[in-house]
Amino acid sequence: MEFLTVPFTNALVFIYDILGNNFGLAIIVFTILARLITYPISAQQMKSAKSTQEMQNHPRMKEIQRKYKDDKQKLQMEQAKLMQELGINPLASCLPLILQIVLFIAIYGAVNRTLAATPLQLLELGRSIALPNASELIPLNSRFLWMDLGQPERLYLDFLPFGIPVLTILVMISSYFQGKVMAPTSTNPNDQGAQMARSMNLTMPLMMGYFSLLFSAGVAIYFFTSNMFGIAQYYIMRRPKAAAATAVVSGSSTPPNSQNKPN
Amino acid sequence: MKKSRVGQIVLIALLGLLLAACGGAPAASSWPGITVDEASDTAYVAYNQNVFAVQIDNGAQRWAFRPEGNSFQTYAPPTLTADGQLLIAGYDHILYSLNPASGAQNWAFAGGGNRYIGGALESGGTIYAPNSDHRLYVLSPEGALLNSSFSASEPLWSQPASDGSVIYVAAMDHMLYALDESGDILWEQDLGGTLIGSPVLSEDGVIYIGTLNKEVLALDSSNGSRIWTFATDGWVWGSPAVVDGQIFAGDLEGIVYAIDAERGTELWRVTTAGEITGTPLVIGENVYVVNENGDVVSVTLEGSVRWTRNMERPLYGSAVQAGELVLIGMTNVDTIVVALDENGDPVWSFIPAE
Repeated sequence: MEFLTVPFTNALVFIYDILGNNFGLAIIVFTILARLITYPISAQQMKSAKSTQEMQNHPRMKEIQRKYKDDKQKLQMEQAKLMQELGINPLASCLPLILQIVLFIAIYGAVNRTLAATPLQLLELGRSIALPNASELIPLNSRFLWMDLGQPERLYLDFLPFGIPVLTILVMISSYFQGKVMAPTSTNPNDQGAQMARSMNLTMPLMMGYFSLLFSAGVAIYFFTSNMFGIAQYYIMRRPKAAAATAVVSGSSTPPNSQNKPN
Repeated sequence: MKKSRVGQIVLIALLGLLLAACGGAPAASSWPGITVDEASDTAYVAYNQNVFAVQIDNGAQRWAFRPEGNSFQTYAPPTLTADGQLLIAGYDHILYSLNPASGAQNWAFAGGGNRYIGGALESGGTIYAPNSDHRLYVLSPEGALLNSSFSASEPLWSQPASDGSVIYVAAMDHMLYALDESGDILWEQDLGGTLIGSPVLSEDGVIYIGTLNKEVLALDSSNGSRIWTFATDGWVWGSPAVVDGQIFAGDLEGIVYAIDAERGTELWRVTTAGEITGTPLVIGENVYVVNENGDVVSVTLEGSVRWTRNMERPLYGSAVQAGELVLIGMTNVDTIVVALDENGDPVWSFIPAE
């Protein structure tokens, strides 16, 4: 993963330098840039997921599921045949997803490395940075708002005996909404994909919240920004389709996915 | 449905493990810190979750200290005080005082706001503990907080130095601070780069220090003004060594420098095969350094390499003298310390008792 983590670390430190040594802003800008660069990949994944979801609502799919509900092998064969006929590649959404996970791990590694809270981490950071003014920039100013970005985030208020994990709460809420808007809506009661997505929508926020609670605040900021970008991306991708659908409806024609509930 | 839920839980657990493995904390986040007390024939070794007392003549373990809980880690060389305490700087935000003879805990100061990465200094019966929360904690010998008024703008990672009346604190905010005994600033000097190694004081009132701005500096201890600046090829992580009018320093380019202490001119340099993060050790006519390539390199005072022994593990920090032996701290291996003789041959290895 070094081939990605090292350039990401340099990019992060470069942005930090440009933004007047504000590491919190640098993480936010870096996350948005990384998500913009990988936009075509995530867009393709969302389109593939949408196609698969639409197939679940296809009348022939429901017919196949009803007809072969006691013969799983036959059911799978018929589903595969239908996918082929509709031109849907079941693996098309997998590759972008794998690429996104790889990028996520590299970005996470870069944020962690740049925060360098121990001697070995600082040595690693020194080896990674190729910027000529690295000596002047290190150590990076890890203060952002009330947070030390190298430590798990808590907001301490005078009247409370404990710290509030504000970022953890924000990450959980944004993870939930991201999952909710992206979850396939299906009228097909046998749609396992939709069932799994609903289940994931409950477990993912918990997992992301757990990571945010334990990991450094810098990583939690990355999670939150990335989630917000994902939600924004969904609405941006959805807008032209909604407009097109409105146009079709006004022409007294039924769009192919008109049975989907609005999200 | 049940199967898919189990699958999700396994997937989440795997992702968690993957994240921890890729960017989380490594098993050890620094290297062994070693302090030798020849009077009691003991080396005190702080490494990861334990402090060990090791007999110098044969490497036998005398005692081990590990407080309850999993958050304790320690790497700074333990500090032996004049009144017979052993101070341990903990990553768990706690400074511990132990009995050096038994390893029993005397007291623990839990007032620090972050990790103690550098060791504490004892001067005139007062304890000065630098913390990553940017503060210097001034404590009584019983571990009671006297004050914590001094705060730098970045973490303090190095052990302060003292001439008996003034405390010199090197900070990661590029500043060297001179403080009085109560922690008030007498002067401060911007050295242009992060300071990880401790300042070294000579008898004639000169401070020598290395910086991550690729420099070794000589400063006037009365006001911090520069006497000379010596440019190195790489970051200077450790402290310089001062011996008989010569300064010895190593950098992350793997170069050992001998510098004229008065003029700041280069006397010689030797290039080794890996990053040097420690202070060169001078014993008699020989200089010893260790590097990230796993080499222990012995060089004469004239700059000729006597021998190089590879320990097959990355080596960080400083070699430490224990009588006629040279102690080398090891990382990521069962053996924590290896003692070499002056020819580089191993005399004993210390593997902690189960």
